[in-house]
Parts: sequence; C-alpha cells; structure tokens
Amino acid sequence: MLLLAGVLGLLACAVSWVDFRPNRLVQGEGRTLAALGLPLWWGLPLAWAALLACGWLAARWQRVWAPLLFAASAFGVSHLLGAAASILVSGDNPFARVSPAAGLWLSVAALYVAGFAVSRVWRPVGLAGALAFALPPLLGGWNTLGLVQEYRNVADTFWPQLGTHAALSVIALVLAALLGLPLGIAAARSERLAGGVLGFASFLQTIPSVALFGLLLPVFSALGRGVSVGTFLAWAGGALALGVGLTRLRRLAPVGGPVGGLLALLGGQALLLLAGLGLLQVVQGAWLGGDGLSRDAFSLSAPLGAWGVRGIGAAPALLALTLYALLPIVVNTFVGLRGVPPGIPDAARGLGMTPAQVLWRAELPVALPYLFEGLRSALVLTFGIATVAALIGAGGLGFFIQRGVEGNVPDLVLLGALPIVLIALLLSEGLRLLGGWLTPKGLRAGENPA
Amino acid sequence: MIEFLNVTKSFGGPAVLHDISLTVPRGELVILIGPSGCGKSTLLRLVNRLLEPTSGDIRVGGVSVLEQDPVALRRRLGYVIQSVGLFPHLTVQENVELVPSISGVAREARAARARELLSLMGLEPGQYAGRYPRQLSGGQQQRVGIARALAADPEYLLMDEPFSALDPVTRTHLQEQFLTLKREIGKTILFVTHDVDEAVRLGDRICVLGAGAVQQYAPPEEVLRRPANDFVASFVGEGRELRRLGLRPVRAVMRPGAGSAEALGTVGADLPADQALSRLLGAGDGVLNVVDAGGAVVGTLRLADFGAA
Repeated sequence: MLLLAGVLGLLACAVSWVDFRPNRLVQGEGRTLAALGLPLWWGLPLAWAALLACGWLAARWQRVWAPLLFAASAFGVSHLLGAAASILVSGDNPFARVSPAAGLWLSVAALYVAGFAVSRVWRPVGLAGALAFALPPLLGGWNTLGLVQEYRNVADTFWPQLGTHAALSVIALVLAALLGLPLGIAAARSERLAGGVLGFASFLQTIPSVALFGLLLPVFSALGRGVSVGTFLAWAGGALALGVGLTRLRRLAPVGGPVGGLLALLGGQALLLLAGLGLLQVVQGAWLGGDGLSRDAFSLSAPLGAWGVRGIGAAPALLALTLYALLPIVVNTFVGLRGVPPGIPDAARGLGMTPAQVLWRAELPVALPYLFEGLRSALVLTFGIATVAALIGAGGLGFFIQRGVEGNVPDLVLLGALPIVLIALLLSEGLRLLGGWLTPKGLRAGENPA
Repeated sequence: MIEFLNVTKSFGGPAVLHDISLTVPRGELVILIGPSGCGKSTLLRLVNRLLEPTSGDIRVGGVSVLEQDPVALRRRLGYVIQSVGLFPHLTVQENVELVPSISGVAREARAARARELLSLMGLEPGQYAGRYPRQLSGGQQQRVGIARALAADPEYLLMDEPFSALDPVTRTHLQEQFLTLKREIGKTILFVTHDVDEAVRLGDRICVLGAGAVQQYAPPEEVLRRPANDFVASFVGEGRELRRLGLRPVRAVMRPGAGSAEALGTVGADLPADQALSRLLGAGDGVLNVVDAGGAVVGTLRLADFGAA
C-alpha cells in the first residue's frame, strides 16, 4: 500500500501539475512542478520517496515516520497548489485562472491510498492529514487559485445554495424514512408483499432523474395551479383516514390490510410532502434569502402553488429525492428484520408480548444497526443526487456545476462538486460513529465474552 | 390441568395431528415425544395459541384457550424454546424481567424476583445479572431462558426441546438440575423432546406421537416394558430394557439376604440398576454386595438376577 502510494505520488510530480489559462475562454496549458520552478518544490517528491521507503522500516520506526511523512506530503501537495497559482497569476491579470491538473488529482489519490496504509499503524492519521492539507488554504495560500477566485465571484449565493442543498437532502431523507420504514417492515412481514415492495423501490432507482422530472412536470404543474390547499388536504387526509380505517377492520384483514396500508401511506406521504415543502420554504425564508411561506398559503382556498408546488423547482426535486432514497432504507429495514434470529420473535410472542411489543421491543432493536446503515447510505445518496435538483431550478450546489459546465469554467464545476464530496464523506463518517454509539451494548461486536 | 379434546390440525394439506385427545394432570410433567415431523411441537404451540387448531378444543385449567385473549393466556403459560430466544440487546436481568415488566409489575418487585430466579437456576445474580446473552455459554443461556419463563410465576410451563441444542455433559447436568427444580416449583409441565433418554429421565408420563396420532400414553416404565405397538417398540428402540433398568434402583433387582464372601466389591442399593449392571459386566462372572446408605449389606447382585427383573 505504501509502495503504491509512493509510486503514485512520484508519478504525480512528473506530470502536469496545474492548468494555466490567461483568461476563462482559451484552452489551458499544463505546467509540471519542475517547469514551475517553485522554491523547495523538490521537497514533495522527496517526501513521497521517503514514504515509499518507509514500507521497509521495522514496525516500531514506521509508527513514527509514516504519519510524519504522510502529513508532510499532504501539506506539500496543498501548499504547492497554492504556490503554483500565486506564481502564475500576477496582479495585473484578474482573468487568469489556475486549476488543478492530472498531477494534483494523482497526488490526492496517492494521499488517499497512503492514508489507508498509515491508518493501520496510527489510527488518527486521517485527521492529521486533513489538518495538514487544510493549513495552506486556511492561511490564504490558495487565494490566487481559480477555485477560490470563482468562490469570491459567487460568495453571496454560495452559502444559500449550500443550505438549500442540505435542506433538500435532509427533508427528503426524513420523508423517505417515514415512507420506507413501514414499507420495509411490511415487506419483512409478508412474503407476498416483499417482491412487490422491493421491486418497486428498485424500479424507482432505475428511472433516470431527468426522465422522472419530465414525468413529474405536468403533474405538479397542474396540481399547483388547479388544486386548492383545502381540496388537497381533504383528499390526502381522506385517503389516510380511509386507509387506517381499512387496516383496523378485522373482517377485511387479508385484503384490507395491504390496501388500507397503501392508501394510508400514500395519503400520509402526500401530506408529509406538502409539510416538507413548507418547511423548505420556511428554512429558505429564514436563512437562505428566500421568500418564505406567504400568509396566504395558510388559506384553504389558496392554490397549492403557494406551497411551492410547481412543475419545476422544489416540489418535483423533493419527491424525486425521496423516491431515490427509498431503496436503501427499504432494503436495509427488510434485511435487518429478516436477519433477526427466528427464536427471538417466537419467544417474544410465546411469552405474551403484543404484536406491537414484538416489533418495537424485540425485532427493531436487534435490527437497529441495519436500519441505521440504511439511513446513512440514503443520506449520502440524496446528498449526491440533490445535485440534479439544479436542473429544474430547485437550486443547490448543482447550480454551480451546471453554470460551470455551460460556461466552460472547470473551477466553477469544482466549486459545486468538491463541497458535495467533502460533506458526503463527513456525513458518512459522522453517521457511522453515531450508529456505533446507538447500537445496543449487547449487540456490539468486539466486546469479549467473559 | 391441560386437556386436548379431539384436536385436529392441518396446514392446508393432510392433517398433521388427527383427532388427538390427551389430559395433562395438574402438577405432572408430561413428555411429548416422537420422530421429527410427528407434530409434537405443533401440539405444544396449540396450547398457547401460537397456532390455532383446525378443529377440536384445548382447555387450560378447565377453560378453552380459544375463548381467551392470546396475549393474556400466554402470560399465564411459561414458554421455553430450543433456540432460547433471549433478547441480545437486553441484559440477563432485563431478559428475566421481561414478562413482569410488560405486565406492569413494579420495578423493585420484579428485580427481586429476577435475582431470586437466577439464584434458583444456579446463576449467581451478582455475577450474571448485568451480562449480555452473548457473554454466556449455551447452557447458561438456557437457564436464563427458563428463569425468564418462570418470572411471572405461571402455573404451567411449555417447553419445546429446551435442552436439545446443548452438548451431552451440559444437557445431563441441566436435566438433573431441572428435576430438582421441578420438585420445588410444582408446575404442570408439557415438555417436547425427541430424545428417549431425556423422556424417561424427566417424564411423569410419556406421550408417544406418530403419524399424527397418540401411539401410547403411559408412565415411562410402562412405555419401556410394554410398548403399545410396533411403532412405539421401534421408536424406543432395542435398548429399552437397559433404559428401564435406569429407572429402577439396585434394591429392586438384587437378591435380598446376607452378603457373599466372594464379592468383588460393593454397590449402593439406591444406584440406578443399569450402572450396577455395567460394573458387573466389567467384572466378569462375579457377585457384588449391595449396601444401603448406612453401609450395611442388604443383599447380593449377580448377572443372573437381571434375567428375572
């Protein structure tokens, strides 16, 4: 592993390090580290070579040197990126742009591999590397880099778009969880339902997002203009009430259960979607420079459009994200519940627990790690997919990616993409820690039986 | 008392249990035994309504189970299964407190009861109460399972192959412990097993099931000595005479009288006779003096004595 990282790192020093363009319109030209002639630039290949050599050191020495050299490499890569920019961009040409090129991406890959290798001898190495890498940009060393220049151009919209992105993802996750958990439980309960539910969730995943937006556009457009809040509430609430009623009727059990459950889910989900849209608007109004919910929206005769239900924008984006997030949640709930050893629900029932107690006190706690894993992958997934929301004007970081692609500005694309990747990674790690902490003690692996 | 009245059960196809009638007397331990697939577990699960009979009725304490709320019914019937089914996310103590806690028994009362039961099952509460099921051996887990079933002090106990998954040494140990426990708690117990030795050792009565019907329902001694038909005879096996000896003390087989001067050794009068036979076989054609608990010789034992038994 160290060997691979070292070779990758050295290779990176030999190929084009950054792209330089005198202005945004012309094609860039690559510059290698040697051609740039930065002061002390040879320190980086030296650090990589030393890290490579570390692979042959005794474990005792590796523990000391590998993390040090790793941090040095991380700092070096980050610093040389900023330094290259400041040498190439002089004050008299505000349109010149310096972007990372192949060499830099290779270096990042090398750092990633090295991080894995070193974490085996010293666990917190990832944090140390991240700090070393973040030091130059924090000290202003990246200020002349194209990425930072683009950020300065759009600084006033960057944070609102990031906020919109996060709000869309989180609200969609909550909606998907409220829909997916009952579906997963139902699928685990009934062999007949399992095929249908899992097939449906997988099918949703295969619809291309653009096609889904296209399908939703006329529907939401018509809903937003033609249907009043009162009518919508009546229909959705009616479906929910009817569904709950059907599931309660014992005489209709074999048919009434699934049909009623589906009706209740659809009605409930429609209500939740509206609530989610309202919440999104409130959040945008309060912190993200949006209009917020108007007072008129709370009138029963207001059109649904007042809540943001339109052919384009937040409504179809939220629904699409919810549907995409469904699969991991449903599948993990299903797998988790199916994985509960059959003796547990059998004993629980035999000892006189009610069906609800069997589910909440016996099965769900045992399946909890799986459920949490489902939520985690769903959140990471939504955070990535929320990028396409920009296509239909719902905003989010995809907005910058889209503008960057249209305007042939790679730095703007990066400005949209990098935060998504970083935040998705951070969320994933954070939720993994939270999941470990939430797992009941008796289920945790690694604690030795006495 | 548990009564099965003309119980038939089918799962859509041919009947698994056909017109079964059976009475489990109060305070006795009745074994349901038979080859796999004979419906013994099904019969047990009809009692606490984990399954419903196709026709017929089951009465517990004189009241039909079909007229009772399943949840309330099950809380009066302790339930122990082969896979134990302890909740892995709860400690041993929380597992034992499960039924009292869902029935709303006060915390102090149920904690005291749990500790008392753990001690009764030979698990020192101070050492085991806070552990998780994962940290226990199979035998310890099953003891917790039995303690859990006894927590609400049910009048009846339903046990579905509780010792089958354990290794032979642990199983024998737990069987002995369970026999003592049975005498102390005086419950009516319905016990499913496929192990003839276990049935003979634990049961007050044995119900041999085969082909969905009761083949014989009698005390162990009777089942071994006079199998009702070929099915029972082949099920209890050719070793049944040896097993029957295991039920009788040496005292019942020996020739009473003074000891023999040529005796190769002594054997206790209350030892199971099969163990004395084993010693005689090892000693060749000889004679053993039988002594009582005080050490006084009460008779002699030769191989020939077993022929008459």
